[in-house]
Formats: sequence, structure tokens, C-alpha cells
Amino acid sequence: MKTALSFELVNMYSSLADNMYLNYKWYWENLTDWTAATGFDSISLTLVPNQFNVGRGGAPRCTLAINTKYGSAQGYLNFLNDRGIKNVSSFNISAQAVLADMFESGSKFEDLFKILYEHADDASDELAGLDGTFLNVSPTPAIGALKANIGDTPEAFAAFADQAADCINKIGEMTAKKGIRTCVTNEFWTLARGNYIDKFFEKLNKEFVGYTASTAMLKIAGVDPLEKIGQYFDNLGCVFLNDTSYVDTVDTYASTTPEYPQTGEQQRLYRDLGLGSIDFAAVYKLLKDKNFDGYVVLEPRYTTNVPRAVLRTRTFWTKLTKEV
Amino acid sequence: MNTSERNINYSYMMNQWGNINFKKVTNFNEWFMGDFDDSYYFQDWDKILRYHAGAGFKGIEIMIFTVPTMLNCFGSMKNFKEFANERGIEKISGMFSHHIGSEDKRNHERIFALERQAIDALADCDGVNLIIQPCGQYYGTGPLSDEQLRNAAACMNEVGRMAADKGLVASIHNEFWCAVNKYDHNKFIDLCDPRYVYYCLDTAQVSIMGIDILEFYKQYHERVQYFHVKDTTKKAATDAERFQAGAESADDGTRWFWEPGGGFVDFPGLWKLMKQYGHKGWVGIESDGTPNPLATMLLTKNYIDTVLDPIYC
Repeated sequence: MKTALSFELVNMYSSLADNMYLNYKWYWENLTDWTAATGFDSISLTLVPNQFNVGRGGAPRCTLAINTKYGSAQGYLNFLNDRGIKNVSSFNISAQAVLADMFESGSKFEDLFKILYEHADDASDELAGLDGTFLNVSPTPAIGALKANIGDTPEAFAAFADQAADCINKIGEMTAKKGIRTCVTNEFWTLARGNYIDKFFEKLNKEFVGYTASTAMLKIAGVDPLEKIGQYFDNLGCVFLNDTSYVDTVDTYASTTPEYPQTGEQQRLYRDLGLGSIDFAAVYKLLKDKNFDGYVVLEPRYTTNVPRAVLRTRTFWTKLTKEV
Repeated sequence: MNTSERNINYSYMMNQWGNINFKKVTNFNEWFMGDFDDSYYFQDWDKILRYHAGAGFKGIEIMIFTVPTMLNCFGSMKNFKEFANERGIEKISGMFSHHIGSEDKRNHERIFALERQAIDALADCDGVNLIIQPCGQYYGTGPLSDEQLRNAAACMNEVGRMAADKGLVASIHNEFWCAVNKYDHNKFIDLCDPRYVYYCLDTAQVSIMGIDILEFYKQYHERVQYFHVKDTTKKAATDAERFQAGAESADDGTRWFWEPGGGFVDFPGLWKLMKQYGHKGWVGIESDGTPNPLATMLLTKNYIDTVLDPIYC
């Protein structure tokens, strides 16, 4: 079992105190130092399609930014190695990020899967140069956003899911040639949410596509993470450990802002690891007992204090591995 | 003195808050317990708008890239405007937009499509000024040929016409790191149609470019109908500094922009000129790069009260 820290602990789209720094190279280089200082030697990055505002900044958030600031994937890898990080274990890309970019890029919705494929092609090239293994792909935009584009009928959703699966299969076949394993993810707001992953996964070519689980995403979708991780163990790429206490009583999953509930008594989705209600001991025991050889990615997703969360994550992992 | 009695009123650009994701966060304990930090206070439009009104700023300005989030939160820009009005914000004075790739005519239709969205959104919340970065960054784009400069100006002119059709005012906003830069800044302004394209004078960006803003204002005061007020400690950055990749987000963390009074910009001199030319309308404040938006906002208000208002208000 290998571990990595997810840099998606930083919410790039936040209004909290450090939001002004998030486009600065120094911010991410400090974070890299803190990551190594707390004993993690691998990271996982979330990428968005190359675009102007992200591309001109210093956040390792798109291949344009990485290649501009470090010259190439090799240049970035050299930097990481120098700071004590061995590799970038995985990239996470999403159809939702592609859709969100369309407002400024002017791209058309009907080109979504074409753009997602090109995005995956570009990202997997970069990942191969960073000694990475897994390209985690979220297959559809958020349901709330989809309604505005394809309508709100089961037939439309089913047809769209078929297109998404076809695209994921093509991505899987393409990245395999580069030594990168494509894994589908199932955030609680996509058409593959919760138990819907079962039907979606049936459409996928297992030779080229695996599954990356995310504990909070499963829990919020009303599914026991332990059960789903066990069910897909033979296809697992990564297991993201992220925490939540959120219970979706107001159909947040289908809203236009699924990660920011506008209604209901609860509005906070994610907690730093150990502060929510996920039974991580059970998940870790399962992975340990079955000799899981993929990546466990520790993700204090969208923490409200980044340096504190890095320290907390090390404490969390030390305790968990000691206790189980 | 209320806003109708003043010649100039102040509007605060909201980009210092990044992306505001919630309309209203209500449960303090959900954010506080376990973390014991102040995140509850800085995530929703409800409180952030009230901070601005509480500090005496009656206008706000927004960024184009926040429009999708705002529509998701509020359903429409009109709803957002009403929400802001209820919290003491009287005017959404403008929206910042950009024309990335305008030097190439093949990109114009894409840019027009983006600007149609911007114009509709701004008109829907009774905004006034569409403030436009004319091109992408200098790195990878500049220097522009005469033809490229003409293309960028043609793009600006068309968007200016589109804005005017909706009762809005389009203005050039030039950055020190933009492909339209020091050496063709005036030429670009002169290529734009004065009937449709005005100018937003960003006091720090233009100063960093190496242009004397007082002389510039004297020359172009009839075109300058809006301001972005911010200070800088960096006078006339070198070409190498301005033309580097991602120059505005300096790799080493160098802060370019400061509260008015925190740098060398001659704001009293500018305000005397504004009085001389009888400038009227909303003046935008920007605080890009501040590590503490609240502190910066209050320092700015104090500077307005004690230095600028006595000269012209």
C-alpha cells in the first residue's frame, strides 16, 4: 500500500483568507515542502483544461502552467524530487471541469466528450513524465448542470451516461499505451454517483478502465464506502480517504452547487480527516488484509486551513496505521 | 452625504474575495467546532456584502468568471442585485472581462459570445461599466504587429457597440503584463472608436508599465470615465519583469498592489485633476494581492475620508 497527499486539500475556488495566493508558484512550493516535511513522498493533483487564467499562474493546476513554470513535466519532477517528493501518483480530471471552462472558452456542450478526451490525452502525457500511474476521471458533469443542457428525464440521462462510458473506454485504451491506468470516479453529484456506479461500470472495458473510490463521495451519496471498496477491490486504482459528516436531506446532489449546499441545516460537506463520521479503521483494515497495492490518497478536501490540514493528515495516518 | 449628493462614489472590486460560493452561511458551529477558526465569516455573499456596506462602500464590481457561480447561487443577476441592495449595496458599478486572443480575428466570434454573456449579466443587475483587458499576457503573445493591434482594436470596437446597445459603457483596462503594453498603449487607445470605447485608468497597472498617470489623464481625460484605484511600490517595472510568464502572480510572491497611500502613486494630484475636469461617477477600488481584505478595505476607507474626500468628493 502506497500513500500520497492530495493537493485538492486546497480549494482553488474559495473566498477564504489565502485565496489571493493560490495562483502563485511560491504557495504550491511551500505546500510541497510541508508535504515532504510531514513524511509524504507522493502527491495527487487535480487538473483542469488549459485556459488563460490558470495557465498564466504558478499553481500546478493545468499542464500549461506546469510546463511554463518548470519547462516540462521532467522539470517539475526534478523540482519535486529535489524537495523530497518522488512522483505525482495520480491526476484527477473531470467532465464537470470541462463544462465549467466552457463559459469562458466559448466551447459548445456537444463537444464536451471530445474536449474531455483531448484533456485526458494531454494530462496522461504529462503524468507519464511525472512517474505517475493513475488518471482518475470523473465521467459526467454535475446532475444540476446537466439538467440545463440535456433536460431532466431518465432517458436523457441514460443516453448521456452511454456517451460518457464510451468516452471513458476510449480514454482508457489511449492512456494504457502510455503506461497510465485510467480509473473512473463517482462523485456524489455525477450520473455515476453512489450505487449508480454499478450500472455505469458494466459499460466499461475492465482491461483498460479501473475504479478509484472516494470515501466521502460514497458516504454523501448514501453508500457505505467499505461495501463499495470491497465490491470493486479487484478493479481498484486509488482509494481517496476524505471525511464528511454531511447527510444529503435536501437533494444537494442534484443542485447547481452540489459542493456548496445553499439550503438545509448542514452546508459543510468535507472535514479534515478524522473530524467527520467515516469509519476509516474499517476501510484501512480491509485494504491491509487484502494487500492493496494501489495508492491510498489522503485528502482533507477543501480544508479551511491548509498547513494545519497537512499536519493533521500526518497525525491521522499515524494513528490509523498504529491502531489497526 | 449620500451617494446622490457626491460627484464621485466608491465601488469595491470583489476579486479580493476570490470565489464566493455560498449565498448565506447560517450555522456557525458547523464551521467552528473542531477547527476553531474564522472560516464561517468569509464564505458567503451575505456577510461579505455587509462588510463592504458597513465600511461605507455603496458599490461593488464583479469579475466575469464569477458569473456562473453567482447564477448558480441566485438564479439570476437581478436576484443578486436585489440581495445586494437589501444589504446596503446601492450599485453594481461594473464587471471586469477580457479579450484573450483578440489579436487574431479568428478568435473574435468566441470573444463576442463571451461578451454577450457578460453584457447580459451586467445589464440584468443594472450595472454600468464593462471593463476589458484588451488581450492576453505579453508572454507568448507580444509584441503585437500593427495588424494584430488593429485586430484587437476592432474586437474592442465591436464589443463597445454591443455594450452601448444595452446602455452599458465599455472601457479599456490595461495591465502592466498585457500584450498591449507600454510601447503601443496610446496607439491602441487611438485605434479604438471614441464613440464606443472609453478607458478605465488603473492607477497601479499603468504606473508599473512606466507611464505617468497624471500626464496620461491630462491627455485622455475625455476618454477616462472610470478608475481602478490601487497603489504600487514598483514604479516603471523593466520589460523583463513585465513580459515574464505570469508576471502578475510573481513566482517569489512579490506584491505589486497596495492600498492607496501604501505606495508612490500621486492620488492627491490625480484627485485635483478629477476636480479640475469635473469627473463624476463611480470610482473602483481594487485590492489584488492583499493577504487581508478586511484590513485593506478599512485602510482604504480611511484614506478616502482623510486624504481624497477633502480634495474632491
